[in-house]
Amino acid sequence: MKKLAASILGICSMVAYVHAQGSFIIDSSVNGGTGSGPGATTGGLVWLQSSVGGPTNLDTTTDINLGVLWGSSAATATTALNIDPLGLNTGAYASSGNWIASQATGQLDVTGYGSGALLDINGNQYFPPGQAAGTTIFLVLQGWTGNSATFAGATGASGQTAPFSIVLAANNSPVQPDVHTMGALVLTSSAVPEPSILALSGIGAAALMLVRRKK
Amino acid sequence: MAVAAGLLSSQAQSNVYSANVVGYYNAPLTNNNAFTFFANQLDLDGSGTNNTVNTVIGTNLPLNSKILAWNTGSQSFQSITLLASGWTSGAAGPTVKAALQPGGGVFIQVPGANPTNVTVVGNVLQQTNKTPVIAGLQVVSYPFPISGGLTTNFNYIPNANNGASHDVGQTWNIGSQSYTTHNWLGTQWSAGDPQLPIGTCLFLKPWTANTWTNGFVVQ
Repeated sequence: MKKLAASILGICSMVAYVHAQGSFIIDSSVNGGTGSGPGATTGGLVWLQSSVGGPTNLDTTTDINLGVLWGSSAATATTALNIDPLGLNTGAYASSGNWIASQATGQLDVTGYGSGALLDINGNQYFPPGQAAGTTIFLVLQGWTGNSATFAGATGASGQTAPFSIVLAANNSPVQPDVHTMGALVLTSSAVPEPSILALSGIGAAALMLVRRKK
Repeated sequence: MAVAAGLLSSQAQSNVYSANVVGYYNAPLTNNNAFTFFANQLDLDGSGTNNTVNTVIGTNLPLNSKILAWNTGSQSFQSITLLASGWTSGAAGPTVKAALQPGGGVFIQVPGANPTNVTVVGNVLQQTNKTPVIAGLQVVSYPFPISGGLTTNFNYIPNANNGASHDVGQTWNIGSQSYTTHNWLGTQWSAGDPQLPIGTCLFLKPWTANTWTNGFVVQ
């Protein structure tokens, strides 16, 4: 009986070993120098756009904040993944689970390679919960500039990739899937009217109403 | 892979002799972003603890080369990258440094079309180790620049099998970029005793904690 129990336990442990937790890394260095543009659907780089419809420039000098969504399909890639598993962010960013450009998580994430490709300064592997090695998952990368801890709260330039798929690897494999199949990550500044323009518009409207009343 | 060692100095005092042995070996690294399992088996200062990425590997590898070190706590790799400014550090730095001491090991990933090599220079440690090995995956190497089999030559005595539980070793096949798995069958390893050429390491996964006793002294 003891032997049977030990065998069952052993088989269970072997099954657990075979279905090792799947992981991936956040790196796109192979995309640097490929010449992919801001409309790339794969092999993408990070781009900054000063306004909607404005010029788009390859980002080589500005580190960005980064968040990752994942799911089992392109349509369900909406669950936030903690990409600060070591808890390196501090202060208001401590529980954000994102890379923050001003923190130990996001430093050099763009300026490291200086090619528009993403670098993980801490070189971690990331584990979507409950996903075994060999599983295909979909990712969405969200990038933004400024001081917000979250993509939703971004007030600077922001943008996200289209969903793209990767196949997770076993945790002890050095050959980890990276994010080089991402599309272009274009961070666009939303055009906000200058305060002086708003003020002038108000004065103009008031003057127009005054003229109409006099008539 | 070549190893060369020279007797640098010896001091005689009465009947007590001590000898410092320094040497070097060349560790070939594969290319095209493929991975090589690498171990440092020479030491900077005889302490076995002060080797760094710059003293062992240096910065002559192609830009964007990576070093992956296994973190036994998180059971995952942490990596550093060679940039124009040098090796990154971040949270991975201490893990990589620990893995570059004799007895540890790392993966090295080199981009570009040209195979390269690392010339490791340092002191041959002369001591006896009782190295604790934990239950679970860890990267280990023989801490002295000698090639051989893990059990036959390097005296790793696997844990006795307990039903389906047994020690496992994983050596890295550079050509196929995959592991060869060695299971301890009670009296021998499947796929043979894991062979460790100079400058290489392996994944060891004892099913329960163990102690690896090994040593090296110049006679």
